[in-house]
Amino acid sequence: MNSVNPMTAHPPLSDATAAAAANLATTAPATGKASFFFGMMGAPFQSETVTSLFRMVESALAQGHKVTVWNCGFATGLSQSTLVRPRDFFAPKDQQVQNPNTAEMIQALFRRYDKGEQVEWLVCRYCMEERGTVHQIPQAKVMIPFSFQTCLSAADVSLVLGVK
Amino acid sequence: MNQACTNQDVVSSGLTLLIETHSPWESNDSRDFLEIARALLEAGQTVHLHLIQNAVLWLQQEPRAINDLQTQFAHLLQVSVDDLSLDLRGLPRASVAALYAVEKIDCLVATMARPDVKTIWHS
Repeated sequence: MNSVNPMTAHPPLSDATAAAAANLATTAPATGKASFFFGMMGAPFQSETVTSLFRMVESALAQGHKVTVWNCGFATGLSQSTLVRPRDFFAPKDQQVQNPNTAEMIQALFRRYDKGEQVEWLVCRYCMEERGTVHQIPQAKVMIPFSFQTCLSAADVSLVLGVK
Repeated sequence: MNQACTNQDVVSSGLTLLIETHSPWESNDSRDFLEIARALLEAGQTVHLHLIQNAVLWLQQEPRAINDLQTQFAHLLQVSVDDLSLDLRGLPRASVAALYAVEKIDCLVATMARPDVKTIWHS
């Protein structure tokens, strides 16, 4: 139960940052669909906001929109590769598996929607380092704080969720 | 139960989508958010107020606040309620649907994506 999920290997931060720098521009996709920017702040389990975030992100992606999620504060922990959740207590004993954590849910979104670079999961470096959430999944791009405004302004629809 | 998206046929004259997440007992900020809605409506703006997360408890705890607003500004205000937020709190959708539109998250996202819509999320 305490083993680290092999799907979420620790990426070298320098690679993640380099990839992020190369893909900073967040513009509307070629499909003409609106681009969404969700700024996620605060602690993941403080409220239902994370549930709402994942519902809106998945819905927007399913409708063909490009989605960028920027994580500040303790929201940088949503994409940690070291996350563990309890097993499913209600499943039959021979079928008990670990419930998916938020990092695995993010990876599932990438598997389903990232063929056209439809989704970006960005992590504020300052917030990440301050909180020690440095073990990020490979899909998460670590960004310098100042790029927040660039990403927000580039999107057609921008929402900031939660309070830092 | 109404699962159809509201506001999808509104001609683009500009719509402010206000999304409330708090119940009236959580914070007075929630009341202030309704005052923003009222101010916009009094200025003649078209407003869509969507209740999600604990905000659906407005309908249980202080239903008159929402009802009075809608009665006063029936021609400018649309109120909708998140379906899952009702389900998670054991509130029957049918009892809400008699008064307000019960919407899926897909409808909310579709409304946000419209170019004539300005969305404000209250955390």
